[in-house]
Amino acid sequence: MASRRLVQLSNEHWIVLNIKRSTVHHLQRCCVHSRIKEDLEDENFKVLNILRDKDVKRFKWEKPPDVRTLSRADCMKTDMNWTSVWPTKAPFRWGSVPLPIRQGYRKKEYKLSAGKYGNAELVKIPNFLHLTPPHIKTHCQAIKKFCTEFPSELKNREIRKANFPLEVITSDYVTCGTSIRDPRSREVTVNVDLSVLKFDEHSVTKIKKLAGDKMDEKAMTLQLKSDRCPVRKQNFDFNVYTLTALYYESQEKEDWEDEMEESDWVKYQWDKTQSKKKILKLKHRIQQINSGEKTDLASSVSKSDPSVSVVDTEDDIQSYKSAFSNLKDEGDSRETLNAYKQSVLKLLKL
Amino acid sequence: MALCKGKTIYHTLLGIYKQQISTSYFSTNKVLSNMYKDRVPSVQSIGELNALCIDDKPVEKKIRIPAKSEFSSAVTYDPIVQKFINILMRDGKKEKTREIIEQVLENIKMKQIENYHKATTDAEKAMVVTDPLKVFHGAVENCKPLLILKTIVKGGSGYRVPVYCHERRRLRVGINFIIKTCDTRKRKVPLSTVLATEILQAYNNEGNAVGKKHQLHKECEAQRAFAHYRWK
Amino acid sequence: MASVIYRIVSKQPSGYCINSSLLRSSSSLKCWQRCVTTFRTEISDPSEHSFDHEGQFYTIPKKDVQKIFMLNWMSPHEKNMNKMFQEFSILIRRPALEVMDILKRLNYNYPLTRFLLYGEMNAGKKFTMTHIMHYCRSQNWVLLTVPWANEWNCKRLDVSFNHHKESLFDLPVHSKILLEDFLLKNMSLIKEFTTSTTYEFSEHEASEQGIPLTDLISFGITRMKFANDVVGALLKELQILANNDKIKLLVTIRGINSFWRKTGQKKEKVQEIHAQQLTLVNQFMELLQSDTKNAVAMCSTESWVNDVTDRKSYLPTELMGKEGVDFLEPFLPIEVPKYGNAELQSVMDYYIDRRWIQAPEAKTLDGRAQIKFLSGHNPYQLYRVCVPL
Repeated sequence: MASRRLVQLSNEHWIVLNIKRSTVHHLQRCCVHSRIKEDLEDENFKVLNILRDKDVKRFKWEKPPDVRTLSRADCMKTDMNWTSVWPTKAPFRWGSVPLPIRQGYRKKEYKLSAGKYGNAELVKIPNFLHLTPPHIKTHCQAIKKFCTEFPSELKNREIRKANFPLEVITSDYVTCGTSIRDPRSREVTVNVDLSVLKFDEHSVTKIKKLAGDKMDEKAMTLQLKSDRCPVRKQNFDFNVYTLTALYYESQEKEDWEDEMEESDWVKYQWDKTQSKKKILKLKHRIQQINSGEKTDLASSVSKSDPSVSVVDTEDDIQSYKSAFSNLKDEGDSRETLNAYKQSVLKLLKL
Repeated sequence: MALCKGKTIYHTLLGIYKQQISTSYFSTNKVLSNMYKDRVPSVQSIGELNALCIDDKPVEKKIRIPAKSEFSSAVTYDPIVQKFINILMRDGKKEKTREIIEQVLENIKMKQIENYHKATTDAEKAMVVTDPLKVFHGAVENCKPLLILKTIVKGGSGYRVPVYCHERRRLRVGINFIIKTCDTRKRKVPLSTVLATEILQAYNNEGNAVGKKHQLHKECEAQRAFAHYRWK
Repeated sequence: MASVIYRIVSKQPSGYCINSSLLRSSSSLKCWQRCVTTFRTEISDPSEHSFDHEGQFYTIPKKDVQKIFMLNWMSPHEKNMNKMFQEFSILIRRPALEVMDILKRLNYNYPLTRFLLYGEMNAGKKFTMTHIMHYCRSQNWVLLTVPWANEWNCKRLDVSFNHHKESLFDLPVHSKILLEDFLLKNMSLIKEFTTSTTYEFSEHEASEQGIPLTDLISFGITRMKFANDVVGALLKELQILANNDKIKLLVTIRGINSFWRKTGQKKEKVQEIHAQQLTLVNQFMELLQSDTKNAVAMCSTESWVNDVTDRKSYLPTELMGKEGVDFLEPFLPIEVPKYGNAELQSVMDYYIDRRWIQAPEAKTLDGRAQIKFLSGHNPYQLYRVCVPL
């Protein structure tokens, strides 16, 4: 055990000394210490201290680590060159990674998972130790001589966007393997800015439906990806073909589009629903009551087509329509429900 | 707030109160480590260190035990209720036990407040103790035995000898009396109601738990002749 | 008798605890007593309540509690609270006042108006309905209540086939309970009325025209086989009475979103019964959609109907689905929010007055702030937090 002692050399200088004590010396000291304590505390009546201080533990010699059993990671310096330790892609080796990594199943919630030593779980997962920032830096410096400069006029993004609405992205790969061809190089992505093209109200909704995930609805951009054909040019042609097909298909209007049901509507159309009939009937009845006509229930129902007497362009019905379709489109929230409540109150003349 | 509500405050801070996520998830994940990230060490300069170690004695090495989850520095933190929870707990289900005790306190409080409002005169109202913790402490105090029986082997045969015991042991035995009387309850009767009635009875010096204490005292008196075996 | 024991206060802070800094400041006892009169009103007639009384408690008279609310309406927990405090007091809140304000101005010749109460769990929808029901009772309205509509889905007592329509299923025990409840509440109001037509329940049994309405109901209670048909007959009679300006009708349905869910009921080979296949649900939906005069329907959506895993949503469309909204519209949505700051203070005052909060630390300003924080403005959580105090 190393106990700390502060020694005053002169007035201002203090030194902390670590003093090692032998076992015997320490035990003796403890006994003496407790005896003195008893003497000091109650001089008249001595109490036998059967339960000894539990804090005092036996001194234990800690072995210094054996140099022969140390792994490479233990001997590493902090400023070593990591690229030389891990030059290429390789499975995990616990001996040469100086990181406190853990991986594996935890048997209990409070327990930690197993450490890196001899851990097969760490070998199973892919590692990216060959792609650290220093690695990439050296790679980039090596490749730099093959690259050409980006034209400075096109660095402004807005100019680029106005002149070139179609953006084609391809990538080439350099590998040190046996084959110089990489399967990923045939991949082509085409980004299209749709604001350049002409769309009306119908075709916008239709292209949104047709494109699905490929469309970014807020920015009105289309991203087409393809790697289905073996050659890059074929992929590019395929993308352009899908773009033209999408555009012309969205312009056309089929017969069945008018017969859509309520669940397929993009926007809620109040004029086509049962709700309109209901409200017009209610309005008709309210008008009857207000004008003083005393009609039975049966007769009012039998009068077919109440919409003849009620004009659906009236103020309260219009406000109800906008509020209800808003509720249907945007979903429930405090604001839409409040607006709906106000419109119903208006309808009931309150 | 006799039940430690420290955890619930912690839950509300994290916004997970009354949800199905265990606390351990947050302790193992990034949440706690982010909270401790910007902590400054308490001793920074040598001058402060010197002020801490004035005399020449060696610094004693002490075992540092992490604080238990129920400890809190709240003004109303109650150690006896915590002890009761720990004894009642089975299989480490502390949250469940805490809920039961909360129910018990609620039941006691309900009964006493009902009595309080039913009482007509001020003198009667003053007699009713509505604080559930006071009732709880009173019940535990009434169940504590003065002596316990200890089996000592002497000359090849065992004797049951009445022995004086210290405060902690008495508390534990008293709490055990209350809990064990409730073990013989009927099925489908919730534990909380039985415990509440038992505690209310014990507060008035009635009931089975107090009876057990009296029986123990009687046995101690019967075994009085062996009392000197205490000093072996 | 009782030994004197002092409350043990912890001596030193041990362990790391977040609430320590909160609680330590409350040791300086700043007693903050309010005047007793601010949180109570003496007016027990709800028709006189106005927006001035918002955030105050009023007590419902005991005979009304026994007659209207005691039997089926109140849950065991509420009964316990009632028993404990020896009174039944309700906080006057904005949504109830809003509904009552609309009811006072409403033209009763218009067809049936539907209110829909919505709000988070334990936010106080039920007590808002209680307040409105008490108001309607004081105006001598007929109350038709369904205390918990989800009971028809969950409580499996007895199921039988309907005689008139084969696709429907009867719930005789539930409808008997409903009839009993109705008779107890409105005995004095419907004594004089008689039935307008004859009702045939089977080949041998029929009720003639002109018998008292109470006889019809008691027939349903005694002959449980036809209880469900009697409910249908009763609803029709009530509609006719209301159309003739003889009564005013308040229909209360708690948890209306259970009308559009699957039930747990089974009958012989039919293992899954949808709620739309129940006769009771169909009868009530007919009533809600009719053009009855002098009638108001008050429904509430409850998240308790959902499974335990998804009870977070509380808005009408999320709970009822599109079918429900299409069925109910036009309805008046009324939100029941959680407690505001002023309401919270008055509730805590009430708890202190009724001894639910006793600890002197909790009565201070800091203690109140702590309780407010812990409860999260939720009424039931506020009650729960104060349990050990």
